[in-house]
Amino acid sequence: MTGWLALLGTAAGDLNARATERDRDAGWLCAWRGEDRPHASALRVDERLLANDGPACRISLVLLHENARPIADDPACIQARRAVLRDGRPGAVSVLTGDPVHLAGAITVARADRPEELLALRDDPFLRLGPGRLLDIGPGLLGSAPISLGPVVERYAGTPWPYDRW
Amino acid sequence: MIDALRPGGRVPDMELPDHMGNPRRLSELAGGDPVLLHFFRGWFCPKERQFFRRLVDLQDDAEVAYARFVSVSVEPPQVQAAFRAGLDARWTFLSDSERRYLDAFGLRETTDTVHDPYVPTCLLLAPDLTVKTTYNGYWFWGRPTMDELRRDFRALTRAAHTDWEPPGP
Repeated sequence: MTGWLALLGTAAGDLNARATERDRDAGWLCAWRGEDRPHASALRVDERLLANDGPACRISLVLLHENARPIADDPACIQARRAVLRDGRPGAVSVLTGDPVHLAGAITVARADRPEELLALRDDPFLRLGPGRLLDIGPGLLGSAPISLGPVVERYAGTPWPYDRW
Repeated sequence: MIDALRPGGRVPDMELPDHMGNPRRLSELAGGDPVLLHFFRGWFCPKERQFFRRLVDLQDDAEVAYARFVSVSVEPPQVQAAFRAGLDARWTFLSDSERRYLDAFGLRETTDTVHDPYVPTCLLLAPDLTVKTTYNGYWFWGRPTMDELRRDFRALTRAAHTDWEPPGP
């Protein structure tokens, strides 16, 4: 099963949560499960992050412009993943992919009631790849998934790391 | 050491807190990859620190080769987290501070009555937790060299993937 994620102006997903940035409306974070791309803006995400009963959380969302997306196995991407494995603080993390070759971004999730996770968002390693936003997300969309410490490369082309099954 | 930890046996799917305190199961950490399951005495032992330095050198290769390391000791998670960070290790440490598996696995080091740790032991596991090789590290030279680990990982990966030989045109 594949997960999909998009930040949109309307609640268009199977799961939706209001997004705010510094208390200002930032739209809706929308998610879907399924193999086919549900929306033109949707990017693949490790499906384990999606949770209907997930709590309110804060995310670091890095979305790279289509013309500035590095190859998924670029050393800069691998070093960002290694930094995540080394520090290991977030409640959940996944890279975002839009095609089988490039890295389209990353999402790092901190549960709103976990100060150590919130603190870690300030040093999101994926921010070294491009600009990011800190967003507060309402409940019912994102859960926690302790990161599986293993390979820093994707299993299959386009499968969002850290998904770790063949 | 119990027979399940010897070559041909299958390691029980133990569940312990990791260095961050999250409950983790061994099969989940394996994630379909070959695993080095490494029982160690603790941060205080200079032989462990020497061996860990070798493993840290190998981890860059393991991370791009679909292989896993898991290290287990009786230290609490916060001690492991500090030790792990100091080593620059990026793999999972499991804490058996309650010593749940020490006797169950027959790995209690009876000659250290101060720390009551695991006997240093390395197991090379197939993705289904079947043991390929067991190294008894009570004496330092009993531990695997990095070349031996590479050979074991190569054999396990070859056995796990039917496409080891690349498909023809």
